Amino acid sequence: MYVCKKYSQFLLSQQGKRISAVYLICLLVGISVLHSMENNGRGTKAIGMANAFVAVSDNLWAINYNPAGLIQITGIQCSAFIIPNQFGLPELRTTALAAAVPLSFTTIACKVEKFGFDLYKETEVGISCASKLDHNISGGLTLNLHRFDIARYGSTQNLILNGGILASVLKGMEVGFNFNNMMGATIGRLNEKIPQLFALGTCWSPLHDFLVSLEMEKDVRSPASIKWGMEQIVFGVLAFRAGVANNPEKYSAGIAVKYSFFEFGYAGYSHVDLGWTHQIEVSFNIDN
Amino acid sequence: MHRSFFYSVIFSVPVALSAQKLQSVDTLKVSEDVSWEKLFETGTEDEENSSTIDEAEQIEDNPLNLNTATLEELHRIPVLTNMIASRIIARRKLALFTSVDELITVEGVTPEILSFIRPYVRIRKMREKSYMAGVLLSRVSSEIEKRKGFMNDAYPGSPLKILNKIRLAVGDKEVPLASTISTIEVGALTEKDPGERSIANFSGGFGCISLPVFSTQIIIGNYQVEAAEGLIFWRASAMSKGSNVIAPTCKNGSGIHPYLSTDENSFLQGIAASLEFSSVHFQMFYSNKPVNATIDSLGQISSTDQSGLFRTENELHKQKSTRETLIGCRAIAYLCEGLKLGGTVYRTHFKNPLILKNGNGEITPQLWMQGMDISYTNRNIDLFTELAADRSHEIAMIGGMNYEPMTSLSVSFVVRKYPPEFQSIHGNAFGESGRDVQNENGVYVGVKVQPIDWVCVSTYYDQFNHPQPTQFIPAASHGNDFLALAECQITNTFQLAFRYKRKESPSTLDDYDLYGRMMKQIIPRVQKYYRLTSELASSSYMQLSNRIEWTNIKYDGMKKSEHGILLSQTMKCTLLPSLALRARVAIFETDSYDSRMYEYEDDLPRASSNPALYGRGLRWYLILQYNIFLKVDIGLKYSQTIKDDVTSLGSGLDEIKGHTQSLLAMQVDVRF
Repeated sequence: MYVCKKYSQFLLSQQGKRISAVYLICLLVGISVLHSMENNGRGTKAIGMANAFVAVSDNLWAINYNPAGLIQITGIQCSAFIIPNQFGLPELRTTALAAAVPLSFTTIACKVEKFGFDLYKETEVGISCASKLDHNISGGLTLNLHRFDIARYGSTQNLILNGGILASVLKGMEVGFNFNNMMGATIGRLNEKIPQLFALGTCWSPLHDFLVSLEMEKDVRSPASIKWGMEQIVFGVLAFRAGVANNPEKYSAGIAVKYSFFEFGYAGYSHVDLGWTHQIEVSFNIDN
Repeated sequence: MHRSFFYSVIFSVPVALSAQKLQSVDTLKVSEDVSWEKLFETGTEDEENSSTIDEAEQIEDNPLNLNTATLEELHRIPVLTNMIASRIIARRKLALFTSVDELITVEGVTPEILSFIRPYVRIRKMREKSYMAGVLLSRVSSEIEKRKGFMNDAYPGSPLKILNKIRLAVGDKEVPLASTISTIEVGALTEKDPGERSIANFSGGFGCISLPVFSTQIIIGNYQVEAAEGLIFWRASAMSKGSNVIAPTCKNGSGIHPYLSTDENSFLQGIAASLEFSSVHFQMFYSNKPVNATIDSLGQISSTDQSGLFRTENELHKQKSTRETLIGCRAIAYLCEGLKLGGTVYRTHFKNPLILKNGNGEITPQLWMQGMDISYTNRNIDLFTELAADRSHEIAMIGGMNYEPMTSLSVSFVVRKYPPEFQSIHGNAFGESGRDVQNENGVYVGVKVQPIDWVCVSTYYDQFNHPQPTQFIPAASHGNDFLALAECQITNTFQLAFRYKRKESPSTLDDYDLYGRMMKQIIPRVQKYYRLTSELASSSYMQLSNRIEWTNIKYDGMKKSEHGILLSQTMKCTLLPSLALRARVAIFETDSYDSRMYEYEDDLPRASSNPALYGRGLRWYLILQYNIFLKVDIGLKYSQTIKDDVTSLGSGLDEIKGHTQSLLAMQVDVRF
């Protein structure tokens, strides 16, 4: 009841009306006209919010979505993430480990990811750094070494550079931008291009325990995708997340529980054709 | 190599920023860029030859004195309407300006307008002794990928584009309350396009003397004439319909000006003079200039060349293939405060007979034109009209009104009628066709309203028809154009803008009749554009902007509709007190060239670009500007367009193998 009252007070305020109108227009225009591509994502918070995370990026999985967001991390963070069997297929297993350390002038992070099984494997090692560009804007870069192994065909590896910007445009409102594979890295003898993803999004936190985000993502080769996600924190220790995206159409949900330095997270999403995928995460966070 | 360069720059940004305490410098010109985009958003692929930008840069080199500039001089600053210029003059009659910032107290001058006009005006102390000033500019650019014409030696010259320009002014000391002082100004320019052999393939220059006696100005060399609303004379590039719905409608030409731009066609060459006798001003001009044109086997001029590219044998045949001799004059009488009556007449003769456009096959070496114009301007209203008659007594007309009943409301209304047979070879009037001042009738209504402090809504509706076939439509046709722009200033530093544009115009479709003959079928086409832009001016040294734009084109049942989408992120920042960086990455996808999209780009000083984005791909650029010392600046721009699923870009001799087009440009500016 208290929360509802606070929402209504905010929405009736001058700033609330402006922001609500803008969000509504974005949502109506965007969802009605656009299509999208598949992107599984990393981290249960991001996946629970249907990967509408470019402007949120407030945990160490920002390394994948928008490295500029790493600047929001206030203490040492480590996380282990697993997708046991994507779409019910144990061969499509993903495991990932990541860590982030905030320093005085920058935040650095690293990760290791592994996807696949004996016949087809992808391994990625990445390092990120993020820095404040001014009091409202931060920027970040991620450099990934991506390796593909295909049984009996051999292996190949590439360096992939991703860059992002995160700007605080209003109190509680952020705008994020991320560009994956900035240098257009290719793979194999045929120089097949690794996807170049351009993501632009905004997130709005009208109350300290509620967050909503909206994002548009476009790959050079695929139609654009609209994503929407939200998070509600209850009693400071329990987080509920939900999201929806198009192209392909999918919806997602997640839950996380915080206990001492640890956070246990679960997220699941349903693909319109391929069904449910579940993922779990354990993270460790020492706040400064 | 260019990749490693990009990596090093990207990595250097956070390091440089964290290492330095930054200061604000003038190099960002954030609001100014936004206004230029509003004026040129309907541009073409390459606006580098824009004489409007050159004109503005000329004013920037020698800023107007706010306390002495005339209404016409103030109106040369692109966003200033006659009404605002009139208010500035009224304000200084009460008390002279002591600072440019005081302009904000003038009704109608918004922070955005102030930011835009700041480089063009000064409150200058009177010069107590003679002075000398000058500008030297040198720009070299080259595409990294070689075009087919260079591979098979069809283009004899190098792929470099080279521009050198110099202006020098020497002036006498100033006298109190005199707007004109004795000055001598000279300028010269050489330009070479890619593939052209000589570094001075196009060259030009001028000498200009200004004397206080009758405010005399004499120009020898290249010059251009702007008269009234552009039916008879106007420069090559002009502002047209766009997000700025009021300023472009009234041109109010300001007479003769030295010309130092790279457009190789739209200027006069000879001698021009202007004299002011109290309330009557005279301008006289004589020009004898080579013209680049295609001469057919009968020795007639079938078309004039607008490209300015002279590389191959065919192109070289067009260069300076005929001559035009023109003589004309203009007189303006200021009848009372704000009321102006003008008359213009010229006669021109081509060495070869000219095949007239829409002239029923008429061929003539001679043309003449005469016209009159009348305008009235005060603080709130600006009335203007121009009538012009050509050799066959066809009469063209444009008339309109800009009205500002209150600060928060501006209305513009323009009617135009350009008959199909009307021939104005030096005109460029408001309308659909720009430089072709013929075969168009139309009515334009523009409204700008600020209902509340933080919201500004601009909208226009333009209805037009072409009574005769045009170059692209083989029958009489009609259409309309609507734009609505809502700009919301959410906070002092954050702005959101939503723009909707709808244009209904005819299009052609290739079809076959019962006998298998190809025929063009005319079908209605409706283009819609939706654009959302956010801008964050986080601090004086950092600005971010994002854009999402979507377009949809529908044809009337016969042809599949088309879509396009564009997303972009732009960053402008000052890395060091003397080093500025601007960068953008944009990703786009359109079904064809018809659904192409434009996003006005930053460029090196005195250049601009507005490339058409179509197909599937991405475009990025990076500009670095460094102030080496005092008045010496160096600029570097690297841009790249990468398309997907194509094996080549361009066609014919301009074809590039592969899917990437990269351009590297470097410029040095010296002011002294």
